[in-house]
Amino acid sequence: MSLFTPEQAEEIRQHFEKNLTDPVEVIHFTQAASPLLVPGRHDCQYCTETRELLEEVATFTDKIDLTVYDLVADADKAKEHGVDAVPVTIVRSPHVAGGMRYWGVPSGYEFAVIVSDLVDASRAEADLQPETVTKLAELTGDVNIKVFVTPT
Amino acid sequence: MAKASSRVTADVIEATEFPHLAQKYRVMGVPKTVINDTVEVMGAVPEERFLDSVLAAAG
Repeated sequence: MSLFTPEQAEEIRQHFEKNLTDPVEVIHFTQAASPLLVPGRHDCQYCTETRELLEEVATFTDKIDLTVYDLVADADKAKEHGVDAVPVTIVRSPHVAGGMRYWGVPSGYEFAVIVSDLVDASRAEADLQPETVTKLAELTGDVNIKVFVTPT
Repeated sequence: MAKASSRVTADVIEATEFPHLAQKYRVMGVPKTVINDTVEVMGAVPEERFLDSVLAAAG
């Protein structure tokens, strides 16, 4: 079943058609639901929703290359990407010099955030002021930015 | 910024789904930004101010 109405799907399709320039790689980490109760392991409440959302979004354009990994079964990939939680989504492209990750399900207003991340990653131009780009180029140490959000 | 610099990684975190992180970083309202686990920015701020925070956190 689609997560979007036909009108929403068409709107997203057109938005991608108009705004996506180059291909974007989306690497998603999820966790399969288990019938077993494992002490210390928390069930991932929104893993299924997030995976389904991304899978459907990827059908709206051929510019999004989605790869889904399981945190446990693909532990080597999780380690390679420094991921230790689910659901986590990494957006990559040759235009993204650093790292962009989304933790959780991008629903509600946050859906716009993931769409805009995809568009940003697909375009060469940055939305930053030239002075900001200059200052960032002078960074000598690593910077991690965590932005906490809620869906509404 | 994560797009412009290979030094920058950006994590957007759904606070309700990762309560241990929200607690660790004392998230009382959103959006809240934490840079290098030290510098905090509440709400949305102009680009120049945000850049200042990034540079302050970078040392």
